[in-house]
Amino acid sequence: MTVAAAPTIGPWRLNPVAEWHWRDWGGDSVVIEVRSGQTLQFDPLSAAVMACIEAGASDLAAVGTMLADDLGADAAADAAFAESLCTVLERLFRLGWIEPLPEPA
Amino acid sequence: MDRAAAGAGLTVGSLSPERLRWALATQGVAVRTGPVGFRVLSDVPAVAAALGLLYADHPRLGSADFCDFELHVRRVGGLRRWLRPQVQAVYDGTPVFEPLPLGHAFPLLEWALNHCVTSHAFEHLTLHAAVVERGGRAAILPAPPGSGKSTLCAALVHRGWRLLSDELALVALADGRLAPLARPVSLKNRSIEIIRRYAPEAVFSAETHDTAKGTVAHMSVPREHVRRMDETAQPAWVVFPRWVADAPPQLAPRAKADAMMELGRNSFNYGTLGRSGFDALADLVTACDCFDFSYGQLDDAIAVFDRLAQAPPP
Repeated sequence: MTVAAAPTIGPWRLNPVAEWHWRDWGGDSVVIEVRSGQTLQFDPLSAAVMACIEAGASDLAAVGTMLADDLGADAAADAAFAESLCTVLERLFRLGWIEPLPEPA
Repeated sequence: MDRAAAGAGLTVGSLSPERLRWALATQGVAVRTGPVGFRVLSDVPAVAAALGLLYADHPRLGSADFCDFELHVRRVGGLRRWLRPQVQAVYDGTPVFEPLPLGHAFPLLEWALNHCVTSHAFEHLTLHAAVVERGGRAAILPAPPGSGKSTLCAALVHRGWRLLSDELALVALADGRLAPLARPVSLKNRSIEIIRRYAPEAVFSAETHDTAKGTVAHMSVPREHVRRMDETAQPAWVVFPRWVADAPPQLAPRAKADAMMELGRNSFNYGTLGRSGFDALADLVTACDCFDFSYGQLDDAIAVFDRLAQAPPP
């Protein structure tokens, strides 16, 4: 994988006050964050990444592993793929849908 | 309230022109258009004339019946009333828009009604779109101004499709069905002459010139469509129309997620409805085949729509 911008490496968590609701038509999806009403169209990769995070992946490595399980190690190791993954994660950070995991008290 | 029962019997057209003018200027005239009831008060004769012409078949509500809103379309006072007479629409004591020249009174009423419906329709997801129905299945035509949406809608209405609405698609949050509004179709500029020629039987209001939208005229809803305005329809197609001079008709599938986002941008209350609006819109596009459609000739466009309607439901 290429070097990712710091926040996208993780660890992160889902925004605890946010709530997502999906509609998927097999390849293209729309997601609403219910509290803000923010609605986004997701391409398949964005949808897959968000699904990984909702399933508990809390850092880039975990997302990569989950996707590699589905796509195969070769695909997941591709540099362009890794870059796309980081772009998706940066978008989720910008949206405030994921946030850095707070330091333990 | 049972709106259908409340509006049964009396129609706007059952009032003589003199009686209609008097009623508008005094206690108002209450009209039902699909799920919406509104009361109009106006001292402008042109409003009475257009209302009598275009809403003649619409049920009239009694003075004790509930109306969703009351609109006053009245002349603006002061020296202007002699020099440059103006008219304004007032809802709930507040002007809806800036005053307009007196000659724009009826279009102003229609625009104010659109504003009131979109501000009040919380049992529906409202979309800026025309809706027509055939065989119980409805086509939703969302489009920005200038795309030929109203022209295509008016043509379809005179070629076997039932008008639900020219401007506002009302998607019931309860069951996802489309509620008819059955209000006059607003046509602008060249579209007026095109439809006059295409459907010589169509009834039009007088033209209003120099509005913000250019020349505007309203086409009445065929009587049978008004009579059926309590029949909701099942959404079946979302068609984004675009008129292109001399272009052959071209119907291209559009991804549902993309269609949903575009419809959301065309909604008046999606942002207010939150999760229920999302579900209603997602259910709508799930139930519909979605297309981009470009056309250059109305007859070609009608043929494409007729083929859609002839295909058996999935």
